[in-house]
Amino acid sequence: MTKEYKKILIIDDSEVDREVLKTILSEEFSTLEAENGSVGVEKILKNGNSLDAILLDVSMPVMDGFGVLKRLEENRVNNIPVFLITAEATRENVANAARYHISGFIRKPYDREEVLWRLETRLGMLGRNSLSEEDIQETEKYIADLESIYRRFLKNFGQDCGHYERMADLLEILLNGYYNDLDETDQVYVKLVSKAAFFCDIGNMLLPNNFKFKSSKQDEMSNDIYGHTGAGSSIIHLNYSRHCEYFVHICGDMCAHHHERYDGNGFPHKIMGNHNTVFTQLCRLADEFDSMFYRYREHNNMQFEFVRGALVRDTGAVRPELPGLLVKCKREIDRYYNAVN
Amino acid sequence: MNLLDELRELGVSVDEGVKRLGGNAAIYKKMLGTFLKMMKTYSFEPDYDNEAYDDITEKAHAIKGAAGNLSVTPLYDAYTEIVNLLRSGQPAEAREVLVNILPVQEKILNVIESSL
Repeated sequence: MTKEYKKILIIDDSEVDREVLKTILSEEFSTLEAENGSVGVEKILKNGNSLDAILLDVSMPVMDGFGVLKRLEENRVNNIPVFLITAEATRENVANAARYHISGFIRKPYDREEVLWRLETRLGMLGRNSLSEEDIQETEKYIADLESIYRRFLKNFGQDCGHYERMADLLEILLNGYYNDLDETDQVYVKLVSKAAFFCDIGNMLLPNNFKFKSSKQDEMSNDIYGHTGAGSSIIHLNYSRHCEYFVHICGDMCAHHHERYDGNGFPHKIMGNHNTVFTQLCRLADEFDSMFYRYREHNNMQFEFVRGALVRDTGAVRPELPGLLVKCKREIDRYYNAVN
Repeated sequence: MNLLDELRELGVSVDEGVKRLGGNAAIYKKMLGTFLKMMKTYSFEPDYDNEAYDDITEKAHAIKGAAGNLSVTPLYDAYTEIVNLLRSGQPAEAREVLVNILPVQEKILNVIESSL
C-alpha cells in the first residue's frame, strides 16, 4: 500500500531555513514551499484542501506572518493548523498570535525532535520519528506514577475507574482502526496515546469538592476556575521532562479539549474543525460511546446500533469520518465488551 | 584537513548541525553552499552609511536564523547580539560587533568556498 504523507506548506524567505526544515520533515511529510507571505497565501488558496499544516515564518519581507494570517482570516481559511516560526517569542508576537488560532510556535534554530513531536501530536501521528527508547521508558514510568495517584483519588471520592480504563482500551481499538499501516512496533505508540484518555478528567483533582465530577453541563456553565478541562491540562503539564513531551502534549490536549465539538459549539474554547486533534476527538468518541454502551446489561448488536446511531445523529460532535470507525472496529469492540462483562 | 574539521577548528558546531539534519553530513555540506550563496548577497556598509537600520536589522536577523540552523555558532552568536543591539537603539555598538566578526566570517566562508 502506498504511504500517504501529510502535506506541509513552509513559508519562509530564507532558503537555508526552508531547506533545513524540509530535511527535518522529509521522512514523514511531503512539503511545499513559499518564499514570502504573498506567495504563501496564493499556495494556500490553491492547495488549501490538501494541506495538513502550515509552518509560517513571522519575519518576512513583502508580507510577514501576521499579514498572511490576516489574509487567511479574510478568506475564511480557518481549518488548517498553523505554526508560527520565530526566533523570539516576544510579547508582541505572542499577543498578535493570540488574535488568530495558532496551533503553536516553532523556535529557530530548529530542534529536530521538537518540530517532529509538535507536528505529530497536532496532526494525530504516532511518535515514530520523535520518540527514543529512553523517551518511551521515561514516559511509561511517568504514566505509572500518575496513574497510581489518580486511582487513589478516584477511590477516595467513590468514583469507578472502570469508565476511564474502558475509554483507554476503546481508544486503542479505534486507533488501530484509524491507521492503516501499523505493525507490531507501532503498538508501543498506540498504547501511549490511548493511555492518555485514562486521565482526561484528572482535572477534577484540583476542583473544590462541590464541583468535582459534576456533569459537563455544570462545567460549561461554571467559571473557568472550576473547569476540570484546564485544570487537568495544568496537572499533566507539571511534567517538564523532555522525554515525556510527546505524551504530555497529547494528554494535556485531551484533558483541555475532550469537550470541544467539531462544529465549534463545545467548551471551554469553542475550538472547531481540525484544530482539535484527531486523538482528542477520538477520546471524546470513546468517552461518549462507553458512557452510553456500558450501562446496558447486554452488549448486543441492537444496543451497539442504538448507541452508534445516537452518536452519528449528533452531527458536528466529532470529525464526520470518525463515527464510522465504530463500524470498522465492531468485531473488536464486541469482543472487548463481552470480555469485560 | 576536510571541510567539516576545518569548520570545527573555527568554532562551528558541526556535529550539532549535522544532527539537526538527521545525521546527514552530505546534506549539511550542501546547505553550507546555500549559506555561502546567501551571505554573498549581503552587504552592510551602504546601509550603515545611509543609517538604514531597519534594513540592517532585517539582514542581520536573516543571517542569524540561517547561521543558527546550520550551527555556524560564531556567526549565530554575533548576529544575535547585533540584532539585539539594533533593536535597543544601539547601532554604533552593533557596528562594533559586526566589525569584530567579519574576519571570522570571512575565514568560515572561505573554507566553505574552497571546498566547493
